[in-house]
Amino acid sequence: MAQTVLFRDFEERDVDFIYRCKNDEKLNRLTVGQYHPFTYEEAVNWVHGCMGEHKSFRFWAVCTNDDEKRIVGWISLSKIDSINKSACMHSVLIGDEKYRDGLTWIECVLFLYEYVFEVLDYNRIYGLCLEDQTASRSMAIAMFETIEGVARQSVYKNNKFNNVIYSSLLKEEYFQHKQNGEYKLKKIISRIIKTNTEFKKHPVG
Amino acid sequence: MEIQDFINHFKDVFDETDVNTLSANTIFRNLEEWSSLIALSIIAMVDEEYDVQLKGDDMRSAITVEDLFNIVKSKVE
Repeated sequence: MAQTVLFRDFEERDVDFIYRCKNDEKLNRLTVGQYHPFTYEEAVNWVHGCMGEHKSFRFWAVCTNDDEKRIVGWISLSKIDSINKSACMHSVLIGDEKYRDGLTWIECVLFLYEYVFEVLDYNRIYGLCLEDQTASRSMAIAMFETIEGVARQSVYKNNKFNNVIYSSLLKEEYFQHKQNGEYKLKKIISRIIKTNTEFKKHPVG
Repeated sequence: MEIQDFINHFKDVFDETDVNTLSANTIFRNLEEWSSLIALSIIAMVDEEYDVQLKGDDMRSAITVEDLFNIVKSKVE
């Protein structure tokens, strides 16, 4: 199936989009990080900071799969650790509402898996999300990540202390599931829906 | 394939939205509850009920529920 989106390095033309997204409080409500309004200058600096390769982190602009390659969101890895062969899935954020089709989200996660396990040849990827974010938790479980634990009330956001869920996937698990065809789109969608239905029945835990 | 059946299936995907407000003319992306997860639920519903696999382009080109219905219908026929 044709990719919905492509991934590229950040460019100067992305600043306006980043400025809009960083000042969208509703959009930022879903993330683990703290929200604060950005000035345009901060957006410029943020984009510049995301450009290129860095030792411990890496950002990609998620862009349209056409000649324009217009930015619609971004993804990133942080805590890239070459000793322990581990990286943190730091962000998957789709700012363009037309690309909140679910398929883009799946492609972003698969891209990060592929980069960590097949390009870097690392052993582990992990992620964290707010406990309330059942969509993110459903995605993690549907991708065969193991829930490692809960950092209780570790993030103050949306006017309350939030539990944060940690999950991870290991290289051997990734390749096993990939070989078994479990990362085909249809199978992933089916598991996400099933997992989310379970969360609705049992919201906590 | 009837649009009212499609709308009824469409309504089943939502939990928090007042489904009585949903109609063929609803601009679904404007719904408060709309999210990537809801979009995936719609894709799964269409696959299950109509044996049609929607792509990202299909989802993006549709504005209203009726637009989505017409896309699905064109793929069924």
